[in-house]
Amino acid sequence: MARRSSLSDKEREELIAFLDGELEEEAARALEARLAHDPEIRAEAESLKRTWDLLDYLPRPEPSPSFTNATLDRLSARETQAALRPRPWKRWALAGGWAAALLLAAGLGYLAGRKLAPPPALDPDEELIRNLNLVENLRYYRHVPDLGFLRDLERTELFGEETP
Amino acid sequence: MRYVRLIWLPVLPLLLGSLSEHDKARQRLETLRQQDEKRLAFLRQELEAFKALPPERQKDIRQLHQDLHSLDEKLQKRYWGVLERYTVWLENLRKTHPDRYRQIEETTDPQERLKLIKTLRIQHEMAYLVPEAREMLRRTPEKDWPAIWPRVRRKHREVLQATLRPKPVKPSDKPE
Repeated sequence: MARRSSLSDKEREELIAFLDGELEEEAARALEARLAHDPEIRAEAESLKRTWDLLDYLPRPEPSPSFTNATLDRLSARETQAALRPRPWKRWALAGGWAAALLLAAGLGYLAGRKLAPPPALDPDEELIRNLNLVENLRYYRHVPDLGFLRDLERTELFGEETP
Repeated sequence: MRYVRLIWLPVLPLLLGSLSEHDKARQRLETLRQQDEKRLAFLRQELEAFKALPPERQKDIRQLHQDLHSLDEKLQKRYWGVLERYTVWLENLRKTHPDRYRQIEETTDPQERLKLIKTLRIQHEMAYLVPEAREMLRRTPEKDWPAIWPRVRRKHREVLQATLRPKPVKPSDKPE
């Protein structure tokens, strides 16, 4: 069963820092004075030091010879991919640019076409063509105000096929 | 959203129909140019006459044209018959009785105009009536002619049918 240490957590932290050589000078000096007089803290310090000394005897994992190259390759590939992958905003900007360019080209083409192309030959009788059906029957329409009048005329039985 | 463009589908046949009507008219005009310059000149004159009419009258005529063409085929045929006979009669009246023609033209109230047309038309038809029917008119004041016209007409038909019906053959007339 492990011996229960009477050191507080703070004292233990300071002791570890001292053993690691990371304690500030003033605090280190104070701790050294304590170590000289306090057997309990000295025992704790010795125990910790022994533990660390043992760590030096553990086998150290060695990286494989290709570790550096593989890591660098992987990093390089990741950076290249990131560089090549288009950003979403970039994609939209590109599409928008193309669309704007196409619209501009179409607009300019239309304007140029209108300006340069000769106007379509207009038939001198175009108005007559548009109203031909009506004009052909104007002889009949001009004597009748509307369809209601024509209906009344039909009811008189005076203009039927078998008159009288 | 892509189905929004289908909204044009019902309109498409109308557009195509209108195009084809225009093409037909153009074709007809081409034929007139090649074969009937006189008729073409007359139609050009008619177009100018139409354009010279007041805008309201032009609108009415367009409406009448549209209304007539939207009737069902049977009714359209009947109305066209009436319209043609009425026009021919009116144009003859202008030549033979210009004063009566003018009277019709100057009567703007449709009902009054119709009454006048009836009276004048019956006067015209009198010449073609059988004596019995003509007698009915003679015994009636002119203003009442339109009212009794259906009866006069019936009488005319009855007499005509009786006259045209083959007479029964007498036994003595039979060949031996």
